[in-house]
Amino acid sequence: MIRKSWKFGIASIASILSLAGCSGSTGSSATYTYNTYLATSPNNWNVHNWQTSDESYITSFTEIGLYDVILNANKNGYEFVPEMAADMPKAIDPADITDAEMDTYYSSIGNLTDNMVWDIPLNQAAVWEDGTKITADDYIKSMELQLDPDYANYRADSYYDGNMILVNAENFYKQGRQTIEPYYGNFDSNTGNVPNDSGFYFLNLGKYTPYVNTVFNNADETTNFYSILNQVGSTYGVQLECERIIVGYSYYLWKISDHKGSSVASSWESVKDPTQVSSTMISNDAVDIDIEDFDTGFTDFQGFQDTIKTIKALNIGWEDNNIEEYSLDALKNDLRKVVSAVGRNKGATSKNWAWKLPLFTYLYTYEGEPLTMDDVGIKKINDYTIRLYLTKAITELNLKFALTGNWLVKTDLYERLSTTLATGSKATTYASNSASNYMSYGPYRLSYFEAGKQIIIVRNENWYGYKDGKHEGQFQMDEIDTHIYTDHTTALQEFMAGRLDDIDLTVSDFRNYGTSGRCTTTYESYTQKISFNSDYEKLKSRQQGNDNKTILSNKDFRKGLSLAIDRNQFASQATSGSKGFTGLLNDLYLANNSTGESYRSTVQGKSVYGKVYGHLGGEKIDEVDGDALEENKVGYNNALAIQYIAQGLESELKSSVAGHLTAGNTINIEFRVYDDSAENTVAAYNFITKTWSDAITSAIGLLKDRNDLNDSETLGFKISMVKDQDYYTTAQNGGYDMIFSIWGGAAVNPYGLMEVYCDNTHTSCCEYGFKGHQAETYLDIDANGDGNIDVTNEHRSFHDWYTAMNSGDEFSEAIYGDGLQPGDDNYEAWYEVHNKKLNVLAGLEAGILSRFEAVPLVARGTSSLLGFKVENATDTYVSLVGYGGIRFMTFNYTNEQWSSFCAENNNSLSNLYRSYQR
Amino acid sequence: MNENENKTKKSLKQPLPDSSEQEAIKKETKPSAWKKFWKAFVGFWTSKSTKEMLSYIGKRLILLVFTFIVIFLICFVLVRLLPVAVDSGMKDPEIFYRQMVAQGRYVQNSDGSYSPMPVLQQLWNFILNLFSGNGKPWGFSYHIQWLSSPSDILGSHLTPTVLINIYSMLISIPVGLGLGIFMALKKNKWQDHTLSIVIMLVISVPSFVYAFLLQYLFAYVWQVLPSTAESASVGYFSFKYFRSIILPILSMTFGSIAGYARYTRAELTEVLTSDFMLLARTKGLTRAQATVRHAFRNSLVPIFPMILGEVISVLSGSMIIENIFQVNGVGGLYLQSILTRDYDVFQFVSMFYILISLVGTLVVDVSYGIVDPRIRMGSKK
Repeated sequence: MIRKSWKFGIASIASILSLAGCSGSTGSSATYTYNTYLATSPNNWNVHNWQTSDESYITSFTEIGLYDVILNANKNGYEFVPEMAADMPKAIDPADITDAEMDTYYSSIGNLTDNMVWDIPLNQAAVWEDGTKITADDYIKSMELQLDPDYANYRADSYYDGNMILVNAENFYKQGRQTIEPYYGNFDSNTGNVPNDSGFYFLNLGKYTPYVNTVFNNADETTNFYSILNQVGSTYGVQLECERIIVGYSYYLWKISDHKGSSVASSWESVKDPTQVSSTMISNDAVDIDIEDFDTGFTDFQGFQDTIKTIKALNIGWEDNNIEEYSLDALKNDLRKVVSAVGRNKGATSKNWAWKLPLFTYLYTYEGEPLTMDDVGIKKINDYTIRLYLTKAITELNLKFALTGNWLVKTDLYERLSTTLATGSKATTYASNSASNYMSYGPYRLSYFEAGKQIIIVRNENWYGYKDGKHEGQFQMDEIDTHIYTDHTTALQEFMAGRLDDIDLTVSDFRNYGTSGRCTTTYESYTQKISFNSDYEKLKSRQQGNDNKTILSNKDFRKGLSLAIDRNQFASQATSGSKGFTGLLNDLYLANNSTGESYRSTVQGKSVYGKVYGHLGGEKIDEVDGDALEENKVGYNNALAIQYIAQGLESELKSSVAGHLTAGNTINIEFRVYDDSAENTVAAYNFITKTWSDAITSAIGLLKDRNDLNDSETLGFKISMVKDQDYYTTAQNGGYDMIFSIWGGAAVNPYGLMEVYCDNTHTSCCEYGFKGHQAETYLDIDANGDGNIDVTNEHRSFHDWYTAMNSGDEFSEAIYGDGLQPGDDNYEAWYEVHNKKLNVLAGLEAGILSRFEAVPLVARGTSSLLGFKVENATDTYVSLVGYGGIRFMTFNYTNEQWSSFCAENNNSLSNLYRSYQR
Repeated sequence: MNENENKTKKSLKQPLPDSSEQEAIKKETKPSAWKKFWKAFVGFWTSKSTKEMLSYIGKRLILLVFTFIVIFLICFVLVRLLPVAVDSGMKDPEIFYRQMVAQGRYVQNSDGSYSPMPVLQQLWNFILNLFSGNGKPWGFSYHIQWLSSPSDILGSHLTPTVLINIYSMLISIPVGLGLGIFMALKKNKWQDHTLSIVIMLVISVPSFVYAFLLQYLFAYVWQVLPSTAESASVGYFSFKYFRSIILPILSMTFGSIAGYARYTRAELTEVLTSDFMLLARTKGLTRAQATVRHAFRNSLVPIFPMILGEVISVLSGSMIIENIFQVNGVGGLYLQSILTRDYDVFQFVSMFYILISLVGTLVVDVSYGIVDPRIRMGSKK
């Protein structure tokens, strides 16, 4: 019996193993396979719906835009090339627009100006992966699906809410349904009503409304009603009303949900009462509150009934005696007072209905006759030409940028995979779940997709680029094999075994491999800096007992602290790929979008370091000379640092102002950080603490040597890290000593970025040092570059310089044309203005840095190791195109050669990567 | 040779019945065998003990259904009470609300406004949908596999999990039992002590520790096995796939082997010292015969339900092991459904496992009575 059982067991194992041997594996004939990984599996990769970078991963290989930005021939900049387009876009002269076109597209818009109608010639060789031709009909039908209101596609707004706005796209998308829209901008200024007023009004402090433009002249899509309430209440004498609205709104947010899915979930967890809800939390997690809820109360997600509560008076704690139930009438009153107060002289009125202006309401964006695709601003001219009708003019450069993305989908498959949901709306499984649910048209096609496991992308042999002679030497890889590795350690070990060709580095990985010649860094247009509070009174109010903080108001002291930081050391020890940097605008910012010229590479950009730090390298070094640049670029000179710190300490010790530094004090700096347990934050804190402790100790020694301090007298120094996930708000209120401030923006617009420093009304201005006096703080800039300061034109406030640089004609290059080259008409005039504008930009940057309230540390970047198997096109990171991307990536080994190489090295390449130097 | 002996020989020498007679004899004996079987069969089903067991199983089935419904309701209500990630709707509230309506979390009022749907109404709608025959009784996945049905998603993740569990079971049961028997026979000898220490170590250390260790040693140091499981593209029943899951199989196996060995040793040791074992030996059985025929069979009584439980649990996956070896199984799916708040998938997978667990418990309980007839299920005495 037992023997029989064993026989059965063995037979079972044998049968399973034999079964296991039956199925074959899918072999690959690829010569060059790029093996990579993702940490998260994409849910779908439908261009109409994608939201995260993972969801655009597949299409970055399998689709291509009408135009593409690629590395230029010199490998030091970028250029535009037509891809799915046959040629560059052609602006249509308004005079050539027919009456029929005018009636269809522009009858309700008004003036038709230049650069509003464009023809895009299509690439006639473009086909789907199955060989079917791609024609203008595909583009028109794809756009129809993109904007189909039944699908409510997430990316629909790309065609009505950006630079490229197609006529009637928004109306088409929103027709037949009411959507929650800003009241302001839709109301009749005589009656105060919106069309077909639904009577439902919503308060949303975290969402943009054009109403904010009536208060802030520099408002953008990040500006919201909260910004107004938070910043101008005291100015206009309505601080209590503002606070009551904020607290009432915060109460609802605080109670309605536990915000576990929020990116600021930990902040919510620490909130004990609604007064602690920060601007970041409101911006992140704002919802539309039906204002009726202020009367009727609301039901939270746990099913409990509650009523909205707020404060009775300013500066009181959240205690029973200090709070009251909010009501709709009370809210209306508060809103009315705020709107009337802040709207003075800016278009707002004091009429009875004025309280509605900052609210949102249900609106039919479009209520006319049903629109068809014929009414939307995209039209087939012939099988291979489409015409775009836009509601506002766009430059050719911006149009090409906008058209680097594509909306093309295989429409028959898209519709076949559609489902009608219970709500009557539609959804499609196109480009999700399986490779068979998708059709590629780019250089590669999707061959295999297994959610959570593997994505295989192979060469699309039908792609026109392999035959048109314009892509020689490009797209060398045959296959991209992508694994989903949720565990970083596994991915790292796979890379070291030669089974992956790239790996992202963590801070600790960077310490091991950061010096490797295979380490590449992808830079971000962000600068990480320390922002000091330099306000004497605020600092004095924050110091207690024997502690001193007012020393931070001393510019020499702050400059000394800045000079003490070896930023290269800091970057290698406390970051995973950032580089030491002392400017506000890093190498990615472009001075000229047409040529890709970096601001930092211009004479003006280079001059900033010297203006701020002088000649750090000694007399032999010129500030615009390359050697000097390297010295000044990192802003490090320890001997000079000690001198400045000693100088600062000495003047403060001698000061008679109340609260000044005295012998025996401990300089106690509170360092506010977002996450005090993050690996890189702790490393940064340790580095800065040690650096400054050493420098201050040396400076104290110097003072004692000079007898400025008695031997028996001491000065202590301490930095403590404080977790504050809303430290920007804390900083705006002056309640801080020092924060990490990470700031940056669009690399194509360095001029606009100066707003956060120069415009005191900017909602996110974090430089407290100006204390809101940017309009009264003056700066001399030699704008015309003649070596002299003309006090009439070149002595202006920070705010005025910024405004002049970004608006008006004084520094406008655009009035001379777009993308001008030497020899073009107006080129010299354009060049002169261009240089003036750069002078102003550099002057402002130097002016801000010279205050030593903002002390840059690094230009932010993330590093990765690139396998020996492949090679980037360039070693220099180029704005917008990085290192050239897969288009120009070349292979050092075929798959077989690589296997042999790995085997020769025992499939353990970690030492090779660590020691490799270029 | 005496006379009696001759008679006997004569009788032996009598000619055998011819073939037709043999057939007749067969026909005479067959009905009697059937009768015996039928009698036994009827006797079994009409016996008091069987009736008691059937009654017990019936009651347990009713209880199972009731328990399932209660757990379902708790699960449904708690899941639906989870807060909606409000930040997901920031870009376009309209799309957010419409998605919420599609997921049955919100309702659009006649005036166009949206409001949260009461949980009881959500439950009612869910039940209606369950029996509506629309092909998607358990709803859709909105995060893991866009608009796929939860049952399809679970189905696509079951194969690797089941394979790993079956392979693991095929190794762990014989090896575990074998080791247990060996240790019991070598009780208190150095072999027993050594194995006991090893087993205690294996039991004490969490499985993910030796999962990492195995991965590091076999995949990266000695490089004899793949570090992670292959994708389905190579075929789940291919040798390549089998090779790629050897490490997760081993990681799953160690703990089971240790458990079986420890349990078997304890049971067998107890049985080997029983009085009936002494009786068996005194009746002339060898030690091996007594051990295999009497001791081992008796010791299996408590071990068998344990094995049965493992057989049923082949459908469940280990979240940690699957994550380490990147196995695209149900353990990871369950975790992902929670993290991404894919409500319908979470609901379906949860109920699937609750059902397995309930059925498993019932089968194990009933099996006690089948394995050891002395145990009477449902008997009040």
